[in-house]
This record gives sequence, C-alpha cells and structure tokens, in this order.
Amino acid sequence: MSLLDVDDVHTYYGESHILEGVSLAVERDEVVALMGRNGVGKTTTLRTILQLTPPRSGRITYDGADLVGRPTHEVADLGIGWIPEDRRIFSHLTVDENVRAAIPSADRLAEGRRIAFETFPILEERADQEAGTLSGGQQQMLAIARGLVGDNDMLLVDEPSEGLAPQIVADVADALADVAADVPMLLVEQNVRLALDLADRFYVLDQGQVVDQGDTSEVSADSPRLREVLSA
Amino acid sequence: MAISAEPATATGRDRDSTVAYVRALLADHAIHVVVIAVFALYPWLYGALVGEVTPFDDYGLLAVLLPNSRVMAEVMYLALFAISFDFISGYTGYLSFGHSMFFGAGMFLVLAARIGSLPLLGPGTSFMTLVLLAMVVTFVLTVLVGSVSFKLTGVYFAMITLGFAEIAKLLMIERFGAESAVTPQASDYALGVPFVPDLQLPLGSGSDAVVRFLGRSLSATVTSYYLLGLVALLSYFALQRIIHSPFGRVMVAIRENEARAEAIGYDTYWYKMAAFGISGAVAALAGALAAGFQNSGDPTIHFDVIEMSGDALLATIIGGMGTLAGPLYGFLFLRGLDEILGGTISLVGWIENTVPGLVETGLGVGVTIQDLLNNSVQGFAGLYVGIVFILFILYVPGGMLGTIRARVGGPLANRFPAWLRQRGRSLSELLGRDR
Amino acid sequence: MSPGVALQVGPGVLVRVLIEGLGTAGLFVMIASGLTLIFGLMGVLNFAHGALTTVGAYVGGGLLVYLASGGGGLGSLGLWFVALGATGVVLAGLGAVIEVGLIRKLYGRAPIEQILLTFGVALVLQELLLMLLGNWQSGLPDPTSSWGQPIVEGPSFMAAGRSFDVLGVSIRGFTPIKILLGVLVVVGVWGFLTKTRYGLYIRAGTEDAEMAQALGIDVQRVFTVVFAVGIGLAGMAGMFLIWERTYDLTYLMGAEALLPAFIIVVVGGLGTFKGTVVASVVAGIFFEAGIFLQTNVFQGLTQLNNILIFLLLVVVLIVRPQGLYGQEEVGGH
Repeated sequence: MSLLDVDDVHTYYGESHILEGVSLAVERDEVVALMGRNGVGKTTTLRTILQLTPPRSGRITYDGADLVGRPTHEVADLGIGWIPEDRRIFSHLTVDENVRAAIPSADRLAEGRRIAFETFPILEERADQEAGTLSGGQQQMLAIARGLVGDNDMLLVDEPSEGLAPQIVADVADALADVAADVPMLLVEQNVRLALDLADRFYVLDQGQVVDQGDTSEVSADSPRLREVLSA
Repeated sequence: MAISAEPATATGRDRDSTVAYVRALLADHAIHVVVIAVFALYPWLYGALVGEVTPFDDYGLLAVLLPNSRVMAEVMYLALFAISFDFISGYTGYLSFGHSMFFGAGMFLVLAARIGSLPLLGPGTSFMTLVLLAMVVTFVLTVLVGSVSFKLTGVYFAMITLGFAEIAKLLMIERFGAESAVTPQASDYALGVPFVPDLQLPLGSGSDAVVRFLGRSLSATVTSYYLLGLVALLSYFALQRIIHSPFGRVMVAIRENEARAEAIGYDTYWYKMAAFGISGAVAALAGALAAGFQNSGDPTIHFDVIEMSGDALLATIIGGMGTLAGPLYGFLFLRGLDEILGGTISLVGWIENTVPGLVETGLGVGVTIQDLLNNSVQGFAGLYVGIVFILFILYVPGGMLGTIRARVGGPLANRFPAWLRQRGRSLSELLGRDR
Repeated sequence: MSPGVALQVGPGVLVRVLIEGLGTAGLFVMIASGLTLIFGLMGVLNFAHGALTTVGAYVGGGLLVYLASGGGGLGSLGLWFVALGATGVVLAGLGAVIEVGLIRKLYGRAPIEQILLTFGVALVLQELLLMLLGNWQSGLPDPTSSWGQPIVEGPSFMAAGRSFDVLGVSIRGFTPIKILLGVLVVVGVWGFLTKTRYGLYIRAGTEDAEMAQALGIDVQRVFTVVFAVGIGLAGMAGMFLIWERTYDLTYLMGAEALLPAFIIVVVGGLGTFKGTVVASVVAGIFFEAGIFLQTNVFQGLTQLNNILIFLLLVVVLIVRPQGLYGQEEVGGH
C-alpha cells in the first residue's frame, strides 16, 4: 500500500474544472516530483490533498486513512506537512514563534526547536527577529524547518526554488536533500534540473491530467520527452 | 422587464394591430399589471373585508392581519427608501450605511422650510418645489460624500458612509434638539405634477373626505396612499430602466468583479458615483414624501443609521437584495408585523377577545397566558423580524423575491409573460380568436 | 451656535483633559479590544458587540445588586471586581454559544454576510433583553429607564459626582479605576497574545488562517475561543458603563457604545491590538476635549464630543484608511 494514494481526483474552483481526474502515488521512502507548466494544476493538487480545496470527486488515502472531507488541521495532524509556494511564513511573528507554531504539542517544544536550529543554525541566530525581515532563502529554510518539526511523515513541497538566487537555490537543494533522506516528499518544482536531482520518480501534469510518469533515471533536463510538456 | 421580440399577434388592420400591441404590452408586463392591480384595489378590498374598525369592536382576524391604509401609505415611501438602498448596495455591492443621511436630508429640507428655518424658502413654498429641490440638493450631497467614500471599498466604505451619516445626525440634533420632533403648524402638502396646482392632490393622513373618484369619496389617507404609490411606482420603473440599460450592466459588473470591469476599460469610479447620486436622490424623495405625509420629523430617529438604514437592511434582505422590488415586500412584512404585533388592533387583542377563557388560564407561578402574550408577543415585532432576518441570512440568502425568482428561473416579469403566452395561446385557440 | 466662548485654558485644564482622556481610553479599550480581536482573526465586524455589552451591564449590575453591600470602601470594591470577573465568564460562554450556533454556519461565505448576521443577533438580543426585563413583576429593572441601582450597591467613590483632587486638579472618582482597568486589559490581552500558546495560534491565524490550519492548528476552535474572549471583554466593558455618566443604563445602551468602538477599531487599524490601544488613547482624549469644549467654551453645543470622534473616523479613513497600524490593503469588497 502506498503512503499517499490519489485516485481520479476532480477539483474545481467555482465552475473551473482544474483537476480532471488526477491519479498518483507516493511510497514511503521516495521523493516524487510533480512537474508541468504554469497553471496546469500542480499547486491545486497539493491543496486538494490537504483538503484546503476539497475535491468534488475521487479518493485520497494517506497511510490507509481517507482524507477527503476532513478538515485541514486533521490532515496535518495525520502527518502531512506543507511547505507552500511563497513560503507563507508568519511575517509578524518571530522566527522562534514560527517554529513553535508548527510544533504539535507543548512537551515536544524543546525537541522541536532543537531539530530546527540544528538543521538550520541561521535560524537560531535570528530566532528573535521578525520573520518578515529574513531574506528569501532564509524564509525558505524557516518554511522547511516548520515542515520538519511538525511531526510529519510526508512533506508536500511547492516551488521551493522560486524567486531565489542560484547560490541560494543550491543551499535549499542541499537542505531538501538532507530532509529527503528521512522523509518522503511530493515535490512541485518548475526548475526541472532541481526536481530531477532530488526526485526518484516523476509525474507530468498537463491541463489537469497526468500525461506522463516514470523514474527520473529515465530522463534528464533536456530530454525531448519532457520538452513539449514543460516548455512555457 | 424585457419587451419580447415578437408580440403576440401583429397582423391585420390598424385597429387589430393596436389591440395586438396592447395585448403584447400587457402580456409582457403582466406581472407588473397584476401587482399594481392588487395594490390599486387594496383600499377597496380593505374596506370590503374589514371596513371601519376601532379597537373596541369585536374585530376579526382579517382586521388584524390586513394593514390599514395609513400603514400602506407609509410602506410606500419606506419601500422607496429601501429600493434606493438596494439600487446601490444590491447592484454594485457597495453596502451604504449613509442612506439615513439622504433620507433625512430630504425630509428636513421640507420640514425646515415649512417652519421657516431656511433662508430663501419660506413656509409658503409649494411642496413640489421643495421635493424637487430636496432631490437636487441631496444628489449634490451624495456625490460629495461619494467622491470621498468611493476611494474605499467593502467594510471601509460602509464605515466611512456610517461616519458621515452619524456626523450629519449629530449636527441635526445640535440644530433641532435631541428626541424632539419638528412639527410644522401648516400642514399643506400638495403632491402631483410640479408647478401645476390643479393637477395636485393633498398629501397627509386623515379620515376626512378629500377627493371624489368614481363616485366615491376618498379620505386623505387613502388619497395619499395612491399618490405615494404612484410616485413609488414611477420611481421603480425609472430605476428598473437604468438597471436594464448598459449603465446597469456596468453596475452589476462592478459587483461581480470590479477589477475586471476596470480592466475592460470602464471608469468604475464615475459609474459608482452616478449610481450613488441617483440612489441618494431617490432616498431624499422618500424622505420628502415622508415629511409631507407625517408632517413631522425627528433627527434622532430619521437621521439615525441603525433606525433607518437598519430597517432598510432588514427589509431588503428579507425581501430580496438585488431585486429592486424585493424591498417593497420586505417592508410590507416589516410594517405589517409591526402592526399585527404592536398596533392597537393586534393579534393578541384578537386572541383575548376570541378566547377569553383560554387566555386567562394560569400557567402556574401566577402567570397567565395573557401575561405571556403581553410580555413576549405584543410589541415585540422587532424580535420576530430579527429572528426571520437571521434565518433568512442563514438559509434564504436570496430573500423572498430572490428565492421565487430562482425557482421560476428568472425575474418574474420575464417568466410570467412566457407562461402566460402559452396559456393565452391555448385559450385563444379555444375561443377561436386566432385568425 | 453659542454666545458663551469663554477661554480659560490653563495647565490645570489640560492635565484634567489628559487624565480624564486616559480614563475614557481605558473604557474604549475594554469595549474595542474584543471587537478588534474578532475582526483580526475572523474578518467579522461584530455588530452585536454593543448589545452584548448591554447584556454584560445587566448581568454585572444584577450580580452587584445580589451581592449588595451598599456603598463603602474596599470591601465593596472587591465585590465589584468579583462581579466583573463573573460577568466576563458568563458573557464569554454566551459568545461561544453564538459562535458555534450561528457564526460558524457562515464560514466560507462573504464576510459581509457574517456582519449582517451579527446585526440580526444585535436586534434579537436587544429585544430579548427588553422582554426579559420588562413587565415581569419580579423586581428586575425597567429596561427603558436608566437603572441606577447597581451604582448604589457599588463602591461609593465611583459614583458620578464624586471626585478626587490630584495636584490641584479635580478628577472624577471613577477615573482612576478606568485607567487601572484599561491598563489591566491591555496587559492581560497582550500577555495572552504573546505569552501563551493560544495567543500564538491567534496571531498566526490572524496573519494566515490557511497556513495555520496546515500546521495542524484547529483554527475553528481558535475562532470560538477568540469570539468568546472578545465577548467576555465586551461584557465586562458593559459593567464599566454603568458608572459612566454619558451612558444611560437602558436596554439601548449597547447601540450607543457600538459606534465609538467601531471608530476605535478602524482608526487603530482593523485587527491590530496595538492600533486599538493607541487609537483608544487618541479617541479618549478627543472625547474629553470635546466635553471640555462644550461645557466651558462653546456652551450650547451638546454633541461636540461625539462629532469629534466621528470626524476622527472620517479623516483617518480618508488619509490613512488602513488605520494607524493596519497593514492590509484597503478592501474586502
């Protein structure tokens, strides 16, 4: 049984049919990349799994448990973490408070902060600063840290490299690779090279449907197989 | 109301085509004709079913449930006020809490003139002149308020209009005193065609006969009811015209997605201002008419945001927002319930008269059913309206009219003619009229 | 306007306006902080706030009469605080019921509908109050005329007319309590928001409710808690108002208290607690300045204090619509 199983999911925004029967799976020890052009439904897929935008039909199971219809905080409690597009850190809270908000219970507070600050020492340095004053790369680290300390067995990562300078992207990639060693991930990423580096398998989305999938060993960033469905 | 592309029949000679044209017109406007007919016949119906009743008579349930002519007259200008509110808030989506200010402005321009408080306009100025002036002055006031307020949207827009309205109220209280009514001595308000006194009739409440019509004499109250109804009707049609014009479509576009309307190229600021100005002028008209009918006004009430705009809000939500006619039915409900539960000829009174034995039954604790009724029903129309209001917001968001429209698939004025034509066709065939 | 323009503005007067202004600020903070917390987190402009304040006044007043100790010093003051705390708890419970029973049903609908719903709740509450208190011959107060009894039972130095002399300036008796309680509210709410886990959740949820949910925070329950706390504060503010000379304790008092609360919250910045505190101080001083002006300078004007604070609202909305400390884009259309 897969850790995450998405089966023929249809999601709408109002009357717009965004996901037209998406099916995918993530196993317990792999990183799966979700690729595709802008607007094909990659972020919507993640939001649907989280029940932020519940599907109109289809089935989603996580570790055997049905997700559809649950409130989002329950989905999060089950062990799915979200590192969203634009980071969405709480800019008016301090770095430390951001981390604390993600720690599920009071008795895990010390341990959670230790994990976060050991993985990302820069965050400890800036622990009492308002999170909004951090640089883009540092905010991304914070977002990843929140995913780490949240007692999560799987992470949904959305465009971690977006808006970051190449050197920073490399740092973020390193951090994600470290995390991926312990935690399975569903990774949405426009940067094909980064996605293929990190992931074991991939799906390609086009116009709300899965049009291709395979092992990342089969392809490279300039494979003709990918070029058509990924070029803007 | 859409004039359909093909009239019912249009063949034959002039007389036939005129008849056909009138038939088509009536069919298309059938729903309006029916509604207008009901309202026009209402005083006669009331007279026939209820007649002259005093609280000391043994009155029937109909006397309780049917509102009398005075209430109906009030409903006319209150509905006009709420319609003006729906015009801006229901169609552009900008919730205006400032409308109490525009209503009050219209009302007090008339009253202040009558008590001689205004420069230039002495107590003798004709009512129609004052009404028209009130509309023009308030239009300007509305545009001024709008010029500042429309820089904001949503909650902030509502807040700033509320701020202006409250300031207006406080200034008026400063000028006229708190909780003191302005009641002119002279009570001469002639409503009709402006500047043509012969085509004007007196406005005001009273049971003395004032006019003879079709061999019957009508009291001042009933005459006023017809006059006010006529003004409300004409205003309604005028506003309807605007709603169904390209201007109206922009208004709706603003409500649905203002950014997109701007992107397409409409300067939404001016559309909003114009719509706001029109709604303010109509609100002032309602206020001026109220002044004429009541011959009295109190800034603490008539400029009060919660009282006036609150009532308009209740009527509009219950009647149906964004329908233009909804607020009329909403206010019928509001004022009707007020009278049923609070008037001198009341439901509780009827119950007491009809089943005195039941009513005196004790419920223990030294309390009778009569006590219960008098302490929780009589005079508590506001409570029940509030409950209905809450229920409507939760479960009936379209209001009465909105829900009916949803059920039949479109504005009644559109759907009814189609339905009618189907029936009419089979009826004509039956009567062999079709040639 | 008025003929009596007597200018007697000395330093004593300014000090008086300042101190009384701080007192009024304390009152405003109590009324408005609940409103701002609720709006900040839930986007709901709670029109029922005023009516709930009135309920709090009657509950608190009733408790005080029940615990009656009839004018006096410290003992009576202690009882007053007890009644205040109890009122807060009762009203918080009521708030939770309203949130779960009504407001919750409108999640996902346009914020304007939640506002309209609270307007309906305000109307129903007002009428219920009138019903429960009126006409039943049980010794309950007449809701249509000002209920003075709690004042008799409460600490005597707080009643209208009593005053202290501080540095040669005459301060009304209730004012130090107002300032004290205002400070307590600010410190209390601030501490709650910054030092507790729930406060953390509220601040996170106010910024980004979706993200908070994705972190596992049960935002719905936080909504209920915030609403309850906000209403509890409103209820306590109601008890304050019994001693406040500009408000008559009748069933309509809430409506009078509602509008200044709205002004504070908008001027400070909808949803920011810091903004509410600062705006309360500014508005409080404006209000008292208005009262001073209308009693000593422009005799004949009776509404100047109210006009001034509404002018404050309009000016702020024109010049800086997001309020002193608000950051969001003006909108919500």
